[in-house]
Amino acid sequence: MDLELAMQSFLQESAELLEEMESILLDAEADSITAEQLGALFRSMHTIKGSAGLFGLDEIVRFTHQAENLLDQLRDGHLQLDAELSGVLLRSHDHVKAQLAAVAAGQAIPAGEQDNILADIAALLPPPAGSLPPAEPSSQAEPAADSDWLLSLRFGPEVLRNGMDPASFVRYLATLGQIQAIASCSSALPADESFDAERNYLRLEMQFRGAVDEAQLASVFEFASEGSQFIISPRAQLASHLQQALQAGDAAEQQSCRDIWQQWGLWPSTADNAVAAPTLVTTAPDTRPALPAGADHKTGRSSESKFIKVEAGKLDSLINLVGELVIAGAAANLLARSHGSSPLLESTVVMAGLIEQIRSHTLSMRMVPIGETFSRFPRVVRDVGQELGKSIKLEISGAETELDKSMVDKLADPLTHLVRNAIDHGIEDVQQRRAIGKPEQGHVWLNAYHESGSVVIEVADDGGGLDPQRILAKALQRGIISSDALLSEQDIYRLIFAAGFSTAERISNLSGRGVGLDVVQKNIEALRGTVEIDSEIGLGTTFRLRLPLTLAIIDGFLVEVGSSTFVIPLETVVECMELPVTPGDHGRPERLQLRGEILPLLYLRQFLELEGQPGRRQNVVVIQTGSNRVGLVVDALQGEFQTVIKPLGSLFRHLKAISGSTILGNGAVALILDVLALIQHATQQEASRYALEQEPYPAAGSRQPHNNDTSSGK
Amino acid sequence: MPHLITLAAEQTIYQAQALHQQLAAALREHPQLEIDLSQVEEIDSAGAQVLLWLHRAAQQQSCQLTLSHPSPAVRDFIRLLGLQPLHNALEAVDGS
Amino acid sequence: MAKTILVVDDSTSLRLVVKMTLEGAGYHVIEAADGQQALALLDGRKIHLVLSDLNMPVMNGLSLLAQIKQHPDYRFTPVIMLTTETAEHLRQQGRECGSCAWVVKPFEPPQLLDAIARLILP
Repeated sequence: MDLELAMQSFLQESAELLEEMESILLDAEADSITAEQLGALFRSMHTIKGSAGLFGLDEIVRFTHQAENLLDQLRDGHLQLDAELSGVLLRSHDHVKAQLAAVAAGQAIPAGEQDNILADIAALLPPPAGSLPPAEPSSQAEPAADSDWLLSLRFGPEVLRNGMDPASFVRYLATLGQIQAIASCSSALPADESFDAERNYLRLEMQFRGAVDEAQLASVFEFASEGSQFIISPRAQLASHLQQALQAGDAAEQQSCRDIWQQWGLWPSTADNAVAAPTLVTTAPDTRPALPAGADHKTGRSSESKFIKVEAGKLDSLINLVGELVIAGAAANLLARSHGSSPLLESTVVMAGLIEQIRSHTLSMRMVPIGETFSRFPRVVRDVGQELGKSIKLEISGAETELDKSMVDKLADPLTHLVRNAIDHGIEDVQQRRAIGKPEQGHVWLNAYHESGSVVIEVADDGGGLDPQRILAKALQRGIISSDALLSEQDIYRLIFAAGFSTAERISNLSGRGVGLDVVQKNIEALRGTVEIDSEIGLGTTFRLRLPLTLAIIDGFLVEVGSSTFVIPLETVVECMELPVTPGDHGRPERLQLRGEILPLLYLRQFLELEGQPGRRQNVVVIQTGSNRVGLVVDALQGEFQTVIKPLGSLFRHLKAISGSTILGNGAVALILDVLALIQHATQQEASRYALEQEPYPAAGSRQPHNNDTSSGK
Repeated sequence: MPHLITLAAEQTIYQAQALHQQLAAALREHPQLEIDLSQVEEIDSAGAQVLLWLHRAAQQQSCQLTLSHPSPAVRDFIRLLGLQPLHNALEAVDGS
Repeated sequence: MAKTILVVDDSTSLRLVVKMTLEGAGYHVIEAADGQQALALLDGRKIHLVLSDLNMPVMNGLSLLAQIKQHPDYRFTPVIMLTTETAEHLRQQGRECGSCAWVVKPFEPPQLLDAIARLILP
């Protein structure tokens, strides 16, 4: 029995329920809550409680039971979802979440705020606090010794129609002990047409022996209690039992029962009954063991759900295989081409089309909307705002923007940090805002969109903005920079990410709870992303995170340097052109002027320290991330190629400009260039040069605009 | 020759009403009835009650009723609930 | 032949545990996530007992119960309501609709098996 699996399923389900609960609670503050939402709220606690009991998580059961009571009152309209109630429910949500987290981590369930929340719940509940707590697992004050019992079972007329066959109860009793004698009394059964085949007419008389108590025996029949009468007595109380049992029923029934008891020697025989029918005293035949364990039944699981949960590892290996398929397809295409067989070529083209579809479908399986991460922020904003006494409105856009699932998980923390930071340090106090004529309510924006092969996430506020002078002063004071440093505005902004910059002067402990913004930068860099900052004093600040989609397969643009082939992610390629030859630079200008803008050049051969001499004609691939453009100088252009990213071995991790490798259709290995790193390097280089020299730029010649939609020929 | 009715495998509350009607009609038409119980694989209280009713109604209408060849399912059920009249009726057949 | 039990609950984990519990005891289990899905399974197959949650999306337990009790082929099927609800008016409603039993969640597996065994043995 795979209890672990069940537990996983429980934890995941609970997490989803809690998420839904939270989003409803946050939503409902603004709008009026619908009956449907109330039902969903109730079900969240209800279901967690129900399942938690199965795993013996009594603490969670105890707590969710009270939360459920509260939600029940709310659902039934006895309570209103005001700020107070909402607050208590959110805290309950947090508490259950913490409890479950502890369960997931295999730790003891923390008491946390439990008593406080329970007290608050109790205060909100009407005096007779809801229903009783869940039944304790029935105390096993057994085993009692075998004892003898008399049972008179007058089943109600409707038991059969309700799906309860008296025979079932008898069979069940036989699992508890021994039925020493049983007889049916069918005096009520009519012999004429008034007989109703679905109505019960049977009464059962029984002698039973077993290690049970009266309550246990009575509980056997509790389901059938409606319209029924069950008289159960210890054998020792024979006289009172028979008397009681006889009071029920008409004369015929009484006579019939007397006959039975007489046969059993329980009732003094009378002359009237001298000719007794043969007695039917048997033990029940059906005393099977109560629960034959271990039966293995494969069931046809209903496959009705709209979603299937798949282990992430399976998806990864599928994507890997699709990657191999792409390569194999490309190889087949190359072969077909070299053989010049056009039917073969055609079929490989058809296959390539199909593979392409499989590829995009497979990849899309890993993509999730960022909204899942965004959805936690209304809560964060609300909490932090309340704590700091600031009124904040959060606006979310681009929640549907998709990115890789693994990325989403890792983004939550840095984003939370930035949002907290925006509220804490970005947005001014209400008084301050009023004083400078800003609306009292501050705004925080969360925005996501796709841009040139990256996902961009912006966290913006309409607060006071960053003051470069103050940052500089502080950085100097903290010894982060030296007094003679020459920094661009971006560089100055970036100082707030420096370790040790922001931790010292924290007034509240909100922003980051003890960690500085440097952690944000580290997190984002670990995802191969960048952080840009835009700020305007008095107007606000925007943190712009730029992240790769981290797809396992990308559309690549192949370039050649010497005998090596490199892949540039196609999304970053803006255009291609021939490198203009200008005698003054020994054929190696350091920048071009492209349509009036300066384009720094990076010579891949020199940068990667490759051997060999460039040919007479070199090419420039203009690549771009964000607002930065760089011209990458290579020997030759090969065109587009679907590229499966293979991670580099640990040996090559330190290569900053290489993000991975791939295998070409002909089996050769090509390295994938890390465009982000290349551009950073080139712009830094350019900046340092810019300070030293000033030269006229050669104009770019023989442009070869590159268009992403068509295969660019060589 | 008694009119022979062989009961089908399942004699539960789902079939009880129809069985009752069938047997009531047979009772009206035939002075002698034989109910073959050999095919019955599943019987519940409702099914047994129909047999009890038949037993009683036959007595009242002076129909000669024979319950024959009870399957193990029928025997077990009669024993389980202590259905004396049916038990006796079967004994009578076994004895003859 | 193992007896078939239809388990109706919107909680996947609860269904899973109930299924393991019941299968361990020798029952055959089929599942549905709400009343509507459960009705779709009433397709002529033999179902000996229905174990249903009360609070479910789409179609709740009481509606399902009412539907089962009107279904020509399943109207006598015992139905156990498995729920956290303890409110008496709901139980009353359940009884009026023809539910057999009311097992209050959270329950221990032996409790559930006990309740079922009173109505059908494996």
